[in-house]
Amino acid sequence: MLRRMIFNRLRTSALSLILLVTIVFFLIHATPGGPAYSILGMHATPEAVAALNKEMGLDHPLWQQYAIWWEHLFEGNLGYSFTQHAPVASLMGSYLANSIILYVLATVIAIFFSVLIGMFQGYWAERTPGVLIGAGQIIVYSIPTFFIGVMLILFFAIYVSWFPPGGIGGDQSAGGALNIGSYFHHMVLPAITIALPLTAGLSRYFGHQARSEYRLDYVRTARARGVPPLRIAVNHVLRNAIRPLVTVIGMMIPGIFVGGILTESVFNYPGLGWLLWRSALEQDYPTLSAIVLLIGVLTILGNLAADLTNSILDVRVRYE
Amino acid sequence: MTDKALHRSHIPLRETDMRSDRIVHHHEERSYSSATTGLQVRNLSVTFGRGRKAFQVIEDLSFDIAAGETLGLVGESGSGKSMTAAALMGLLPWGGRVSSGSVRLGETEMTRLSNAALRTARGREIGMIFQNPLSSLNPSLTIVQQIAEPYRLYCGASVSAARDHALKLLKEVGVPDAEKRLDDYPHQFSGGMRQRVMIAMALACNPRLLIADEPTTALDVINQAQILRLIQRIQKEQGMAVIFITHDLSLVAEYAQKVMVLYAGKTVEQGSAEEFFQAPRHPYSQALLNAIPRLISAGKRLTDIDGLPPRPQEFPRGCRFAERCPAMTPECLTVYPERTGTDAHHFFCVHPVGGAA
Repeated sequence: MLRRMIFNRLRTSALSLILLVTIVFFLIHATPGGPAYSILGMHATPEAVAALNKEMGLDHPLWQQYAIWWEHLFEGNLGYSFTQHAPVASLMGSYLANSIILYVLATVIAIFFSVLIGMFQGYWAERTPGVLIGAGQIIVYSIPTFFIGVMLILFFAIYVSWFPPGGIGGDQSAGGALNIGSYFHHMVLPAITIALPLTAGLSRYFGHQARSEYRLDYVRTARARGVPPLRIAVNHVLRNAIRPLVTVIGMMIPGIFVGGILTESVFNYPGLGWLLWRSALEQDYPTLSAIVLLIGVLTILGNLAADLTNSILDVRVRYE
Repeated sequence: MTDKALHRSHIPLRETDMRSDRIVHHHEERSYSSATTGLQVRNLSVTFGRGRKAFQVIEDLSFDIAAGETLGLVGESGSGKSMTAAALMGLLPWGGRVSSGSVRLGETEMTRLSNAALRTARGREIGMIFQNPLSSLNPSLTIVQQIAEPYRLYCGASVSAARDHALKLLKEVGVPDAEKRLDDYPHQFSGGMRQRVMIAMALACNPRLLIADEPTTALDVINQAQILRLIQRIQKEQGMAVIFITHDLSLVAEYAQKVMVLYAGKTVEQGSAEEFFQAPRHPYSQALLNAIPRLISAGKRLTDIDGLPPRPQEFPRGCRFAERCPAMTPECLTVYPERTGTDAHHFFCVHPVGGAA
C-alpha cells in the first residue's frame, strides 16, 4: 500500500517536472522578438540577429533545440546571462544559499508559532480568546509584506537600532570572510517579515484543525479517564492535528518564494527573490527562466516530500 | 405487560457467547459492607448560562446505587441522560455547571473537588464507556498507550508494569491474542473488540463506579449481548456500581436492578426494576414500553409517541410530558405533579397508569 502510494506520487511529480521544463523552454521562445532581439536590443540589424541566432543554435529546428535544452539541464548548464556576463548556474549559487537559509528559518519560526497559537485557538474556539486570535490572524494576513518589512526596518533598525536595516552580514559581496553572527543578525528582520503573514495563515489553518480534533470523541474519552489538559493537548490533539499541516507546508512553498521576492527587495538581501526582481528589471531572460525553473522544481519536490512524510506518519496507510 | 413478555422481546442470549471470557483473575477485594461505597446523588441540577438567559437542563435528580448494583437510566435523546453522566464526571460542556445538589461517591463529595482532584477521581474512581467505540479511541495511539495512560498517571505504575496491567485487562475483557494486539491501532479492531478495549480502559484502576453511556448502540445484537454480559461479570467480581444509560428498556429489564426514567431533564418515574416493569405508573414509561417491538405480539402495530420533547429553554411550568400525554388534563399544564409512591418505586404524575394510589 505504502510502496504503491510512493510510486504513484513519484510518477506524478516526474510528470509535473517534465511539464515545467517544457513550459519554461517555450516561455523563453515567447520573449518579444526572440532571444536575439532581447540581447542585441530592438534596433539590431537583421544580419547581426541572424549571426547571433546561428551562434546560439537558434537556427536549428525547434525539436532539436528542445533536446539540447534537456541535455544542458542534465549537465547543470542553465544558460548564460548576457547582462551579468556569467553563466547563470554559477551566478545563482550564493543567492540560492542565502535564500534557502532565510526561507527555512522563516518557515521554522512560522511553524513553531502557528502550532502554539493554533492549539490555543483550538482549545478556546468560540470563546473570547479564540475569537480575538482569529481577528488578529486576519489583520496580520491582510498587511502587505513590503509594509511589514518597512515598518520593521523603521522600528527595529532605525528607532531602536537592534538589527541592521538590510544587506547581508560578513560582507560577502566584497569577498570578505563570512561572519556567522553578523550573517544571522542581518537575517532576523527579513525572516520575521516572511514569517508573519505565513504564521497568520498557517495558525488559522492549524487552529481549525485543532478545534475539530478537540470536538472528537477521543478527547472526551481522554478527559473521562482523567488525563490532564496539557497532556491531552500534546499527546492526543496535537498528534492528530499536526498531520495535515505537513501537506499544507508543502503547498505553501510557492507562497514563501513570493513573499521572499518582496522581502528581499525591501531588505536589499542578496537572495533568489532579489535576483529574480533584478533580472526582471534588466530583462535578463536566461536568469529569469532559470529562477522560475528552480522555484518550480523546489515546489514540486517540496510537495512530494510533504506527501511522502504524511503517508509515513499516517498509521492507517502504513499498516494496510 | 408482563415481565415474561419483555424477556422474550429480544434475541435470547446463549451461554456459549461468553465462554471464552471466563478467565480467572486476581485483584484486591474492597469491603462493600457499608452503604457508603456506592453512589449517592441528591437533588442534582445542572444549569447553563447566567442571569436571565440561564436554563436548567437537569433538575432535581436523586438516586442511590449500591456497590454491585446497576441503575438503568432511560430516556429519549435530549432527555438529559448523557448530561447527567457528564455532571457526575465533572465533565460538563463549557457554560454548564452543577447549580445545586450533591454527588457522593464513597465518602467523597464530588461537587466540591478541585479540578485536579476531580481528574484523579476520574482516573481512579469512575470509569466511563461511550457509545461509539471507534471515534472514542485516539486513532494515532496504540491500544496499550491508551489503556495504560490512566494507570500510569493515577496508579503510579512504571511503563512496563502498566504494559503488563494493560495486557491483563485485555485478556480479562476477552480480546483474543492479547499480547500481539497490544501495539495495534484502534482501526485494526472490529467494533465489538473496540468496545472491549474501551471497557479495559475504563477498568484500568478498578473504579467504584462505571458509567456506560449507550455502550452497545453502535454494535450488532450478538456483540451487544457479549459486551453487556462482560460488564455484568466484571461488575460482580469487582463490586462496581454501574449506571447503564440507554433508550432500550428491554436491556434495562435484563441487566439493571434499578430504573430511572428521565424526561426533559426531570425524573418521571424511578424505582426497583422489578416493581417498575411489573406496573409502570407514569404514562411516559408506559408509552416507552409500548414502543418496544415484541415477538409475542407480532402483527400488531407498534405504538409511538407523537411529537418531540421540549427544549430546555422552553420547559413548561407544569408536567413536562403533558403536551404529548394521552391522559393530559388542564391541571397538568399548570402544576408540576408531586412525588407519589415509596422510595422503592415512585413517580411524578397526577393521572398515573392503573389509577391514583
